[in-house]
Amino acid sequence: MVGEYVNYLQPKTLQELRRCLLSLTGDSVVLAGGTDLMVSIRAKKPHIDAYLSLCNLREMHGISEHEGWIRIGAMVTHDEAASDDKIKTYFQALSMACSHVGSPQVRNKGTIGGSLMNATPAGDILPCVMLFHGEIEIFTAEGIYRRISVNEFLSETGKPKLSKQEVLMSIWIPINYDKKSCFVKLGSRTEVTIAQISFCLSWKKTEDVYSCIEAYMGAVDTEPLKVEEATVILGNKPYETKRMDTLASLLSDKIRTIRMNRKRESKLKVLECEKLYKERAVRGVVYDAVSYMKD
Amino acid sequence: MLLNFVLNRENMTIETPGERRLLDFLREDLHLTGTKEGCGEGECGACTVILNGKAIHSCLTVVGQLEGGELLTIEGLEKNGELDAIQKSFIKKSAIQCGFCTSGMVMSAKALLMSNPHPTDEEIKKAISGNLCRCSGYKEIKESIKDAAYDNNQGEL
Repeated sequence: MVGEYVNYLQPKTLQELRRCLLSLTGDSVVLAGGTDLMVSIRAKKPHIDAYLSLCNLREMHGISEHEGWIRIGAMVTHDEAASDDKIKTYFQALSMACSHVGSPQVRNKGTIGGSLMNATPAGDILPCVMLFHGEIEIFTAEGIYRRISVNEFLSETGKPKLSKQEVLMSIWIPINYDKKSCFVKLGSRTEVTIAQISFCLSWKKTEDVYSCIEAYMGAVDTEPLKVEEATVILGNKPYETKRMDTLASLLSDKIRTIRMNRKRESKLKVLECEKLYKERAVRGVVYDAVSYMKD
Repeated sequence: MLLNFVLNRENMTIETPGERRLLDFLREDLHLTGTKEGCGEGECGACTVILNGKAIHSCLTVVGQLEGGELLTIEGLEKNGELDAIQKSFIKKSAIQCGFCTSGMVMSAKALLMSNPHPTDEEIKKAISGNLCRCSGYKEIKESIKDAAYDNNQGEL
């Protein structure tokens, strides 16, 4: 409404943040980078009584190592995460995912915390956090920190369960020094694209023996899908064509089942032939992902 | 809110609503109309400005997020009446047709050269991947950026 007063809150300390959190209502929005929120506000024009901007909170910035864990502040941008040496070394999949989010301008402003809170099904960050068994640290208006698993963080609809008096403070990921990982995204183009399918994979390789293979597929359902069968199917020779094809067939079946069970109609106009696209294209995604295991 | 930031190398203090869109603040309040509005949703890059050395969309930024930062717009590239090397290069190579994308394209290129004075062709391509040009194509634009890097480095490339 024109002329209506909007409260803009930009706390610099946790004490100020607590006071701000207590003042929020159902019409208030939390602003991280703004790359999703600003688009949403423009499209839906919701009534907003207050903005809570998190950009000046020192505690929400920076990437650091603590006794076998990496802490990523919620306000770390995709660009900062993609270029961070610790993330490149321990969590290659996350680094790869962050380096392909949107455009350079979006990566310079969009944040890891914002991506997780937005929790769009096509988001690239959530599957990686799940792959690495990351934990979400929440800060409350009472000044309490609590850490929860990603599964506890999400509701049944795939959206975060945080109340208006809570914010995502940071992401904690345990370091597994022996594991390597990769992230592959299939989109309509190579840059500035939204995932049609994303796939992240981690594995342990000792000499020529592969073990502890884990995989998540994103952008096919309301939340990332764990691929429990990856270890058994890829086994010790993941790059054998037969094994990759078996995994691809399995994923194709899973995508088909999700499509058949979907109750709501797609918001996009999708032709009959396009409905089958993901089921077919997933083979290429598997081949691309497994190619990283050879290195 | 009382906003303190550096605009085009000059300190600025101004009273403004924190939630005001940076693009509107620049164009309507400060009359810096070199920054253009294209899609208004972070797809086209026409509104690109540089905040703390990084290219960002001014259409997806609120002015409160400028607090304490350094903002560079297309108007700030010129120094003492002389255009920046990247602007000269765009003119020399005729990397402009309608010109609507140009200021965003130039700012993305400037951000690249500020952090990477010796970009490869691939790095140039990636740096402008968030900027759409619907008339001239990208060949001359990429050549301009390469030439500006060459000039900045006084022929070292």
